[in-house]
Amino acid sequence: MREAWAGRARKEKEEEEEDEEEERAIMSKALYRAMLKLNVGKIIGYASGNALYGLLLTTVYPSIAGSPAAAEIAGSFPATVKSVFGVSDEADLSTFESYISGQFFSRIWVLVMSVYGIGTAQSLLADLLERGFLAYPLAAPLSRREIALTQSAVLLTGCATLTGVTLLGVTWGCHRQGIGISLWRYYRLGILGFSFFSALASYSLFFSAVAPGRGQALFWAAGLTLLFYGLDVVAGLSDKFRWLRRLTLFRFFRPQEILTGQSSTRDTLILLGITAGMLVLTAEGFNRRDLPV
Amino acid sequence: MIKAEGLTKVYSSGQGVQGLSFRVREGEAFAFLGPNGSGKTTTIRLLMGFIRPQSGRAFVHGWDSWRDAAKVKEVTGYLPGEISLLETMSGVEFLNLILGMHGGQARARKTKDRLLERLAVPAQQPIGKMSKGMKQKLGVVSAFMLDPRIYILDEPTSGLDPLMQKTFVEMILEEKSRGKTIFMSSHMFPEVERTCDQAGIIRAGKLAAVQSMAQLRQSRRRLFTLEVGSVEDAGRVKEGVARIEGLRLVEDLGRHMTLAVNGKLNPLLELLSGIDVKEIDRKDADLEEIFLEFYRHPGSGAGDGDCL
Repeated sequence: MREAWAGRARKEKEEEEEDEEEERAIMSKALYRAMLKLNVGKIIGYASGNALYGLLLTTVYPSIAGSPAAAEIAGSFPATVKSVFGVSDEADLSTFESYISGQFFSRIWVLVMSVYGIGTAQSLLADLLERGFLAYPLAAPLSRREIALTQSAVLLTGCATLTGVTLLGVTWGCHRQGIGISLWRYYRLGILGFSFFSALASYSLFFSAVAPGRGQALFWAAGLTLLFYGLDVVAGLSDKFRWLRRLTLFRFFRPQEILTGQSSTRDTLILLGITAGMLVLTAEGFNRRDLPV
Repeated sequence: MIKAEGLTKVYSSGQGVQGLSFRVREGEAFAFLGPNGSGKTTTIRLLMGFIRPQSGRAFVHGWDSWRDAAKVKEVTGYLPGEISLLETMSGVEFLNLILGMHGGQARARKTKDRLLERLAVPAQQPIGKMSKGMKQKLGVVSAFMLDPRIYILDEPTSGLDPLMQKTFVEMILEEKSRGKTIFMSSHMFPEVERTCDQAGIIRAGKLAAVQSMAQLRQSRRRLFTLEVGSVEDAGRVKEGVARIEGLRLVEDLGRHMTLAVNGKLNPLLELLSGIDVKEIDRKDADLEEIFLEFYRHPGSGAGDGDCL
């Protein structure tokens, strides 16, 4: 009898300790788990799509690399076309790094990750607010900063997973095809990619937190991303417009340069700084606004 | 336990609340009555700290609703007016999320199971497959399982069938007997009549009156439905009603009519003395009629109490 009582008391104490841990936390574990579960299907879908596309590109690469005509065609593209596809002028298109950057990392990957980042940022705050579900986290003893931080963590978890799985797909494909690559450079690309996509997702989350409605949040985030993209493309078309590159976030994400060992750590740090700044602004904006749920 | 001091929040559309002041004492049940768009939900959002007042302050358990919102939630069980749940979650997942966000109290888990059984909620089912009433019951469980000191409930029985409404009234009475404080907005007058000690009546964003249920019951007018023999008789009755103080025509259907009597019955009896009365029935105005009276004639009927 006494043992049973002691066992129960111990269990209650453990549960109390768990509760205290939740109280001390800066984000809600329960909300994080629930939101991640809600998004896991989307993450798996995007991740497998990215990885399979990367795998496909590495699978066909040996046949392209072996064909002199393909290299000739690639070399014949005007500089403006290369710019639109994110391939640097000086790049030797016959290398795998040029190929994978032009075919995937510079544009398609960015496009897919932008759609993921903007969409998920809307679904984590603006959408839940408009649907009224946020009433439940807001009615719990969590500060609004904790809620915003938890949703940010879900968003960043998705970005990290997608970046990691994509690069795993590409590097595994290279290993299978016997394509020689520097793993360290792909690892650095992963960090830069995560930083870039996080920055993009974090300003989308900021709009999601402060916009009066889901429509506006989506419009502002997609609009700003398109503006950045447009500036990057136009800046590459002519030397006259090259200065426009200074105004866009895309200037920090040059996959081909990092894969050829030319990029600096400074870009990654700047992007991480933008992410951190935007997440602080998100928490503050969310903390101050009316939430009519 | 709950206090509003000159609470004001007016939206650009002109809707909202202005200068609300009221107090709900510990262990008291307070009904907040008013039609759609009168400001009930805005008041509840202000109490929960979801929106910031333009002026005035709200306090729950001594905490400022906006500034100390997280502290307020430690003692509050909340049920939103519109139950909006994530369709892909199951009922159990939703309740576990609520428990987790409230610190996962072990005792609440047992209460949850008991409530799910009492309200007959198939909690393993995905929420997307649940009816509106079932979702409402899930919402009720999520508020009550936490065993809070204060309940803030926005139209809690909306969507519940009569049997469940009865169960809900029992649950409120049980919580009241345990000393809990309850603030609820409602359209369901029978439940308010049975459960609440006080009622605040809100009209166009302003608090028209706060009265005790006893006062409201006392202020009930007597209503008489009447059928007279001819149209001429009906005309004479209506003419008399317009002339005599304390009598009022509530409903006019030609030879059939409903009259309200405030005070003594003698004037009515004198008026009917020369009239061919075919049928006369008396009925007491219920809370709903008193409430509607407030909207038609702000100064009459129930308005004899603490108009603010």
